[in-house]
Amino acid sequence: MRNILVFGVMLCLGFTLSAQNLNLPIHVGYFAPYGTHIGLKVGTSLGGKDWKSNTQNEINRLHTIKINPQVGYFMQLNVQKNILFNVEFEYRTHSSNRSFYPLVSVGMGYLAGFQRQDGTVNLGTGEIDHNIKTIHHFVPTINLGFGRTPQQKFGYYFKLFYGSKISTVYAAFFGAELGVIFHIIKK
Amino acid sequence: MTREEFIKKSLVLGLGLPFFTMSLESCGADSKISIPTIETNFSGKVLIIGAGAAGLSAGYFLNRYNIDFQIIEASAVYGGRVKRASNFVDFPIDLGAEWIHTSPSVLSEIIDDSTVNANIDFITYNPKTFSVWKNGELKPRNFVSNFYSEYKFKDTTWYGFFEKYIVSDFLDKIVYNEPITQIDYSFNKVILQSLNGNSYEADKVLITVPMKVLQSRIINFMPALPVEKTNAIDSIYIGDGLKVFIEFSKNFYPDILGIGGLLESLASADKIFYDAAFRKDADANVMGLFSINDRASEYTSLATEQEIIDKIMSELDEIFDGQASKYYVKHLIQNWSKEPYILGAYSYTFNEDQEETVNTILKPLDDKIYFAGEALSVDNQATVHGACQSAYATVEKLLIS
Repeated sequence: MRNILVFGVMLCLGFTLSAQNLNLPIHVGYFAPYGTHIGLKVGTSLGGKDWKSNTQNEINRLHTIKINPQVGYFMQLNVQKNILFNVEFEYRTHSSNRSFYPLVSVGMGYLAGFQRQDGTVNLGTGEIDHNIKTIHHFVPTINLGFGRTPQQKFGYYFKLFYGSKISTVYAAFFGAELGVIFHIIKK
Repeated sequence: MTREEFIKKSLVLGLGLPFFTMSLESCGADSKISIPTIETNFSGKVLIIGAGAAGLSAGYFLNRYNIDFQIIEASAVYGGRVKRASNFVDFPIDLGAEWIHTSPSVLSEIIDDSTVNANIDFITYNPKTFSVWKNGELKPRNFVSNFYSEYKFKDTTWYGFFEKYIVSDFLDKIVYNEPITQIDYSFNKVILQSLNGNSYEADKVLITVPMKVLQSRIINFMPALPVEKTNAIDSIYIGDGLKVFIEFSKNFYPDILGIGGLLESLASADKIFYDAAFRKDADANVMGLFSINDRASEYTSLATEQEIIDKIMSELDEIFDGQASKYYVKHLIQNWSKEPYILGAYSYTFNEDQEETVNTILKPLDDKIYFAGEALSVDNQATVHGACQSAYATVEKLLIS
């Protein structure tokens, strides 16, 4: 478990430093699966494909496909701790003169859940020794939300997600994510 | 707030959920259970009525202080609502209290003896598969696994715990098959009369019988209990209680099956089917039914155990397309409502303010009659460790009064 956590932290730092060097946006968000877990997600957006369209009402509407690699950590006290490695393929669209955008994305991730299985309590001292098992999941999600690209300093985003945690059993995986977007190096 | 109220409010608010298990686990944390260190001049005799969790832990406390005491038990065994079936399948089954509704370190707190050099294995009761049966459909709700977790014994039971660590030093002080029918505290000494015509005398008496027994007026007090005390006793709701264990030759059921909507199942928890062998060292497939209150009454009101199991099998066959009958091996029924000196499940709700009710009941009568039990632990009501906590607090009061 510790190795995976260390790997996750290193990956987060790697993301941040790489994003900084490449001047990519950094996404840091409160990540709350089930609306109950406490968590954090860090990621970035890699440029995908951009194009413009014209309609009767609007000229030069921007459409963007982004690839968002992310690392997340969330926990439920006394139940489980989890680390998520995820990639989202995000579509967003907005007017050329506006930074606010709605978004929809699909995600695919690997989730390592660290769950207490059993343990031993010392009756003299009360000390508890838990046995923790790592459970591996594949996590596909669909996300809906909105965001605002950073102008001077910060942008923000909000997403609702729904998907499955797939291991030996299927379980719904849903919740919300709220975060900020920023560039360490000013644009 | 009772545990049931707390769970309901947490579920309704949603926000409470992250803290749901934490709060259950911390029930005892902010009021650690321990045998108080006291100085006492008490040299009289104490009679404890009831050899359930509260009565036994009271005896454990008194035994540590070399106080002269005796436990008078109405039935033929000790344990009360802590009861074990050793030979039903290949692991011992808790017929009564089963879950450890707090951190397992509470077991060490109950023993409260740092010289004990022993370990107990427990399981984290964090079911993987959770379904509900609603409107004729079996619906998976496995995500519940992400925020529900408690503990259970792995290869022993609550009864086994008491047997090995609490009762072993004073087994000879328990008198069985002596239902007390009258408590006369009008004299200097307290006189107890049993159904068998025997009488017992003591300086102080600790009553640990279930509240339902007090409500049923099986025990006659002389003089009568004060009205405020009987009102307080009567204001505690204790419903019917039933546990059934069915062995199947195949596991075809989820770890937990709730009846009704998800919130309803989680909040009231008054009827659940569950995999009783979950994470146990066991080969047997055993499904448990835990049912209390009105949901239990649907079974406990039936005339025979055969009618009860027929009803349950019929329900399971409907839910699991006939697999229950197909894989049925045997069953075991524990009808707590029919236990003559238990009469139901456990304290569930309080009609009046819980703390006020409990304090009214706990108030000693003439410094001679004391009360303890699961219903009288405000912090840990309806739990075994709550019964122990209540007993330790009351015995402390009894010895230093």
